[in-house]
Amino acid sequence: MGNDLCLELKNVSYEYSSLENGSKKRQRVLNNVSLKLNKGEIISICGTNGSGKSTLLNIVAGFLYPQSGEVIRVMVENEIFAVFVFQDLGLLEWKNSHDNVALGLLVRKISDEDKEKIIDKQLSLLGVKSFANKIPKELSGGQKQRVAIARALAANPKVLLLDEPFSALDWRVRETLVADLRKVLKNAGISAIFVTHNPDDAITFSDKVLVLKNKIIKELTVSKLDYKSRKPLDKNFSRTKNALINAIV
Amino acid sequence: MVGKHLAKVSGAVASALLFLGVWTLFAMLFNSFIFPSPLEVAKTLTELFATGEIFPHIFATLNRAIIGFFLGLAVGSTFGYLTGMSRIFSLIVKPILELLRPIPPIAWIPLAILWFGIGDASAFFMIFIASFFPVYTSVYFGVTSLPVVLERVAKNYSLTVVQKFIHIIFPFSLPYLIAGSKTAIGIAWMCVIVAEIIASSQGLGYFIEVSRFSLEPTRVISAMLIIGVIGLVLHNLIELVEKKATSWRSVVYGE
Repeated sequence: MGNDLCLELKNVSYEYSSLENGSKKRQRVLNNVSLKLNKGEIISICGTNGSGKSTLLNIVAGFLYPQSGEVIRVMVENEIFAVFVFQDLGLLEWKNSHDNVALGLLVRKISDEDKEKIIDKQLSLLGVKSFANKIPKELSGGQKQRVAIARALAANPKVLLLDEPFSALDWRVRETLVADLRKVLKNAGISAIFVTHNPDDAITFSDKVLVLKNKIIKELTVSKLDYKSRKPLDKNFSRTKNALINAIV
Repeated sequence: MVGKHLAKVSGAVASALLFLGVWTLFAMLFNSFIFPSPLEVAKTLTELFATGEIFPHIFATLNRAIIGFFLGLAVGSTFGYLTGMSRIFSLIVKPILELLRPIPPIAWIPLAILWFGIGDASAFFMIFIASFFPVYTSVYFGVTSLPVVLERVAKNYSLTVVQKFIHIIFPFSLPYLIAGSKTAIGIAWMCVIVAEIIASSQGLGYFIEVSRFSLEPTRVISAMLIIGVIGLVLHNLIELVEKKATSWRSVVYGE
């Protein structure tokens, strides 16, 4: 198990500072948070608005630095450790889907031919190959999400970080996308941290659900739940969902 | 689509008729020497083009305006990108530029004559100054308006500064660069005429000044109309480039 570890957060604390009436005000959002992520594991982080979910993800991505604690990223040199799929996606509006995915490959030292193969593969895996020549404004919300995920996967990261990327989608598109993405990640052995406040998505998508509440993290295991039974009408699913809602609020 | 096109053409025709009507009315009210009628001006315009007298002046003005504009565009955009992307460059250069920016380009004319004498160099300098600031300001604003998410995309995929510039910053700021160019070409076109009136021996501005001295208002107005038409064409050319180069934007272009 130890060899499979790819990320560990040890007693991470983070506080935002702001100026209020001329004096510096500090607001702590994470307090001694610890978590471990193994290779190929998918975890969801749930919590109410302002509970520090996105802050935690930004720390893992390296966009924010914790004031105390340690972030251990198990990686080799020249490897992209984590890639973020942002809530507002960050697709380049002036590039078509093919070129957006190609952005994820710029840093990889591989031949152009191999790059083309990877772009083709990722677009096919995410079911958007036929939209390769379309620019973002010509795509639907769901298609854009798929292109953003294809771009992230093309970079071949060890960990995929998802910050509520499905929040703007209707339930039918979301359900398909969540299932497709889980399959792609499991087949590729890529770990993922998925931030959401949707309990259904968290349970369906992940092996482990972590709840951020009062600046600390609590764990709720869902991996015992058979993946096939993860349907909203299933009894076990409902029980887990209720436990999760109780843990969040 | 056809209806929209028809409305546009009808609007333009109505606007032209209104303009000519008001002009004719004024020409009837005043002495034709002070206020020549459209017909008299049309006659002079035909003569100017038929004899070819106006062409060297048009080419001289266009040459100055285009070279000066592209110089201003190149240097202005370079400064815009450098101040927008480099904190150190911005700290050193921005205060100087902010001090010089409010000075109207025309205020540089005495210095331009002193430094470069009467001729092309003074005009180039004036147009360069006139084009530099709108382009610099727009590009700087564009670069600093880059959304955080795109900054993070660059960091996410470990892009180098050059890759970030080519793939993200330049395309994102292109609409700002073009908007700055549109303002710049308008101001540059005005400045070239002023510069030619004061410090030149050829060009449409010079032609206006000479015609004023020889008391020929029809030639003055003819040159003014040519200036207006060329200015409009230059503006429309940049708008065409804008539509082609930034078609990815989800905006409705003004008709």
